[in-house]
Amino acid sequence: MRKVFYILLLMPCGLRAQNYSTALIPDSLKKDARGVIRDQEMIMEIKSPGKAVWRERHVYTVLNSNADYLANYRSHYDKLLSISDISGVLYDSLGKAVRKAKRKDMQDRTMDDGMSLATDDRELEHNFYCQLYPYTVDYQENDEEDGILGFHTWMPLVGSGISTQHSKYVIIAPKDYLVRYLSVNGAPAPVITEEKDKKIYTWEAWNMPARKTESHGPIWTEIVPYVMTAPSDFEQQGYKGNMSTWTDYGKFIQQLRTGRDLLPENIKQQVHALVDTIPDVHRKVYALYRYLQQNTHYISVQFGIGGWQPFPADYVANKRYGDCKALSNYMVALLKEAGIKGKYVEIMAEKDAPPMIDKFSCSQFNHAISCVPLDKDTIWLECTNQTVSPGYMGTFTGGREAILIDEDGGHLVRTPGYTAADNIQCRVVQAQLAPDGDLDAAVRTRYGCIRQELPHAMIDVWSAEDRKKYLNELFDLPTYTVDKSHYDEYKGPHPVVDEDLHVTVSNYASVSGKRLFINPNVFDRNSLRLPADSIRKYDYVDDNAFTNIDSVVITVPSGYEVEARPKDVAIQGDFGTFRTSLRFENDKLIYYRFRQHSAGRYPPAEYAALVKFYEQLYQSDNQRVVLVKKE
Amino acid sequence: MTIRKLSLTTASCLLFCTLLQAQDKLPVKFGKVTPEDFNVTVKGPDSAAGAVVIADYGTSSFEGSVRGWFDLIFKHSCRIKILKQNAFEAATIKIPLYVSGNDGEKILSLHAATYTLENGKVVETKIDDKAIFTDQLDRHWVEKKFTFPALKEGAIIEYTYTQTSPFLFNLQPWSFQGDYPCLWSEYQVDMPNFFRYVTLGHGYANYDINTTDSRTATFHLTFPGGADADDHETLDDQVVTHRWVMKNVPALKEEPFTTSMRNYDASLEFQLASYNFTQAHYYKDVMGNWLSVSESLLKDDDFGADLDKGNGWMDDELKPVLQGATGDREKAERLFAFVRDKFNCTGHSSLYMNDPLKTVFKNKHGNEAELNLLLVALLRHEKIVADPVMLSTRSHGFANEIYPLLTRFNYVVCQATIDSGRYYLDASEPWLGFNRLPERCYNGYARVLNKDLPSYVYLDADSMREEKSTLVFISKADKGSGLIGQMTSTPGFNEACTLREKLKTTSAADFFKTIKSAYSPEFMVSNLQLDSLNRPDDPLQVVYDLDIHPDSSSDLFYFNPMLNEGQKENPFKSAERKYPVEMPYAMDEMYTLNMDIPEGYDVDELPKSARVAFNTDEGLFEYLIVKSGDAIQFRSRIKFNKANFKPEDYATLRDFFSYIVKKQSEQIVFKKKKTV
Repeated sequence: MRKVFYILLLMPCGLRAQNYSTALIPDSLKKDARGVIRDQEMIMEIKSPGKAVWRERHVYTVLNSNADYLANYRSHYDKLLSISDISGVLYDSLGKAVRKAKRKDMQDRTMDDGMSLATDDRELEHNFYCQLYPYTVDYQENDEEDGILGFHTWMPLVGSGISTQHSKYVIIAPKDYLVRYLSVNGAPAPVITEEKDKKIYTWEAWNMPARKTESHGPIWTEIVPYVMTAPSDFEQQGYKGNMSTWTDYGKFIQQLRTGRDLLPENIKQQVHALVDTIPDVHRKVYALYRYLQQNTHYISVQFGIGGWQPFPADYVANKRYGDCKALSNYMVALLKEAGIKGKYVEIMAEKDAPPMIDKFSCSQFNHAISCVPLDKDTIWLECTNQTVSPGYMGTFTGGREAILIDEDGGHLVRTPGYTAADNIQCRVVQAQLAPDGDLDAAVRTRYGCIRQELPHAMIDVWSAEDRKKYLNELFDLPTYTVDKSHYDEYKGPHPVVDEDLHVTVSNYASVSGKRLFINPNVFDRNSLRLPADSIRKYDYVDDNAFTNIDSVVITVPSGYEVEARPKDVAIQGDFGTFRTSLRFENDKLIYYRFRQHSAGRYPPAEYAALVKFYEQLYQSDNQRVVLVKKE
Repeated sequence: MTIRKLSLTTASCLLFCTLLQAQDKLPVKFGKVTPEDFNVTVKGPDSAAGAVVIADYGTSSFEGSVRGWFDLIFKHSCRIKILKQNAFEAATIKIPLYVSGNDGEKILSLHAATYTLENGKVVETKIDDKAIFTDQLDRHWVEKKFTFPALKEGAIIEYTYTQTSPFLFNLQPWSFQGDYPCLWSEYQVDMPNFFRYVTLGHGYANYDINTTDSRTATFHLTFPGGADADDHETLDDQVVTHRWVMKNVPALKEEPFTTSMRNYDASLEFQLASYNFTQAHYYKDVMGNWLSVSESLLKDDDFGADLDKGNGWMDDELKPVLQGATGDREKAERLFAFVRDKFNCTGHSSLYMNDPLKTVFKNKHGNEAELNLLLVALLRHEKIVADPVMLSTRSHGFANEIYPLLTRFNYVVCQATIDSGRYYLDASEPWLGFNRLPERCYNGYARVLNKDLPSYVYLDADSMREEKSTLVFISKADKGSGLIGQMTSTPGFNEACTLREKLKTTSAADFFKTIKSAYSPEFMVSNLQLDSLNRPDDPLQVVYDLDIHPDSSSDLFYFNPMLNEGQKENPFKSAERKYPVEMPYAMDEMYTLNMDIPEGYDVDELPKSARVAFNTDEGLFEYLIVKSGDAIQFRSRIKFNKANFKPEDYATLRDFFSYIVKKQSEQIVFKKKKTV
């Protein structure tokens, strides 16, 4: 998979004459800092659209053990990117060189991402394992790259609690070569100079104090300045392209795919046998998608341009496996054979992936999917998963921008997301409390959309062992056993899973003397409590949208009356809706809870109110009813 | 006995009804798959398995080599039926090969194919050679890997390969038990009399077939002649064929509170013991005994060779460390702290050094063997008696007590003897105190390496005591019905280690936040302190003040005397258990509370006192509460005298903890006095 934000890669330049005594670090850079970037230089020289050399230098001071990771130097290389020279020096706090490392001292190993069967990605890794703080490491590296498909992103502040004394990024290009860049979050514009037949772009920053992330805060790329850079013209392994616009970018990807949608004859026949008798286009797509799911699975093999180019459709047909690109390309080929226009789409997958910067065309993707645009709607298809519903785009790929690849180039599109009302967890509990406090409960739950991802995985993907483990840890109860479980699944763009459990909970209620303490909210307690004394600088970000509904009836042994009980709650406001009600009649505790929460961003000024809101939830969910024997 | 045997046989027939011809011969013919071969299902506990191994078959034998010696030939065939998509990962095969210098293990022939049943016919899809990848993992390991093509649910996959090895110490081990249930697992080893191996079996399952057979074989050895013609020699020897078969082996399932599954999976390992060429009157002991192994380890450059040298290179740096130290104990403590605090440990699973001691000393980092051997050298340099101790950590499985098998050890600590007292030291963790070993070292048998007096020591989990004490005093506030109190908690050694390690990366402020947020609003927490956080030799203490205000709008005040210290979860989640329960240590947790009854309140109800024994004398739970005058005294204690329990004890353990959770959640009920 291609890496978009890899900053900690690379290279060596001239002399090491600088003094890196830690006494020279200004106090302003030590504040809130665990480490300091003393000097960072990345110089890329574009020799031609097919060749570039890199010179890099990274000097980091580690102030305490929390920044040790900075000193663990890792440099990636592969068939197209070679490291011609690399070395490291360790300085003590006075700036005196105490140890040195050459390439032979570094670990050279394959980068097994745990996903790929085979890859040409390798890395050099080195660590001085210094423990006398503060200390400084200085690594230099020269690289040569065939093809310039991706440039670096220059981000002078690399992480929480790391300040920067000096950081510089230089691109040297032929005068007539267009270097593309975009400054984000107030990053400086480059200084552009010319020298003979070359044009030199320089970004530079000095003395930037450390910043800190906050829990539930915005992601790092939202709060620090950075500069994206990318090629205009480029070539790699015989393919030429330009990515100045999304249209051009898409044309290049389309070029890589050309001629790769040819299906073997037997597959063509199977496609026709499958869909020719189905009149409805939606049903045809579902049938072909089911066919893909049943006949292929995910295996990744990545070499060279293989990070960009899908394996041909006949490769997938024969092997029955492929990576996301190959499988999505194959799906499009199957659709084509059925006379349906399917499209290939590049996207940044994962929950909490950084949003795409749509005004800067370059590869910001790590995944491929496919889709079928129809008159009224579009059917989105995740092609690497054997069980997910057709049309479902959940936490992995849903609700974000992506690039659809067409004959005429790339097009900006948006995948569908789900609302609080879609992501439902609706639970009905019928329970019986024994005199000794044991609870015997029938629990029926309906999960919708994003909420069904976990039970879905449990039904379809996990092993029997994992399922057992999941059920044993599903509820926040001290000792319980799930002795019966049953699931029904309803697939579609809004998938639903129904779950029936029979649960016995040992010592659920605390019975002591004449009293009985019991929490009527058995299965759905909110445990989040926010620290009240946090001083926030950034917004509180909550991306989750969901609705929880709980109806609980607990029959208790007869002869009790209520001595104390939590108050009913009804809150409706910026942070969502929360309502509870409780009744006790005919030896039955009848409890109802409704919570709806939409995704939101709350400025620091609203934080105190948010703390209070969660505190009310916590109190309500964790209070026990006290029943006492009637006199 | 007969009856029991009979019922077992019936049970396995029921479980695997497809294997009707239960006999002695390998039930499949590799390379030939018939439609009937697809009729495999699994019943019983593994019925939900994603795949089933139909047959796993391996042989190892010896061949005369072209280098005038012998090669090991390992042939392996395996047939698996994929039942569900969630077991597709079983179709990715990785074969590790060992390489040393110019010598290396090789794969000679590899055949792999997927078989599917299409309209009643078997369709074979062979893997193509281009889809077999080779990955150089590091200097010593190369991995061959491939994945089966044309995979789908119900497919049968099968592979066969031959692996040659010039390394006689690497006679391939065999695992009868794996992630998937297996109908037939067989291993055969042809051992010539020339070589003696010790065979080590472990696990719970028994062999269905375990036979030996003997014959005479001829070996052809070629001695490379360089410029001259090669020399050939023929040797005859008795060869004993060992055959082990297990049928219907259940899948290996991991359970919590298990130190290492390695102790439980059914498998065989071999250790080269000796060469025994009777015709040539050549006999050589390779494995040795504890004495010879100890001796050779102490002479080994990667282990003990440097320990007794003058090691003058350390003189200068040690002077300030030892300055003013009086007595051996103080010197030892200083040297221990010096290595622990000034050196960085880069790994915790090594029996050997990668670098000489001098380099380790200069670089200030090394694996745990390097740091602890350095500590031995430093102590000896100061004329303190010290010896290396090698052991196997918990995750590495138990060491073998009978045979001196070095591969079963993966860790080195230091034993110092001062004034006839024994001290065990591990300088590889910054949070470990003097004479303390981390939890992972308590794994039974360990060897003390001393050239005159090799000995052993048992480091048992049962002998490891985790003693925690918590003291709470609560008294009336100056005014009103409020209470003020102080909580002092002294966690046991392991909990303190975990906390110290955690607080290296998270701030104390975050830790305090979690304490604060665990209390309900009637409780205000303040003045949080952590004592001795950075002094690993002293016990850690967590201390804080409490300010308690009962809700004045209610007549009742419910108060849990455990505050937030009660056991809230049962550590034994699963309802069943197959393997022994190996808890990390024997624990003793004592919680004591003394409190005043809040002003204006009476006690309406107190929880009942209770005392429960676990298995008579193996454990104890006490919950004692009394009201005397205006005060309440309360004590809760959980104590175990051992750490390891049999699977049969599991249900009792689970109930025991369930009871503890229940008891520790009980409340005192205070009621407002009626104002007259």
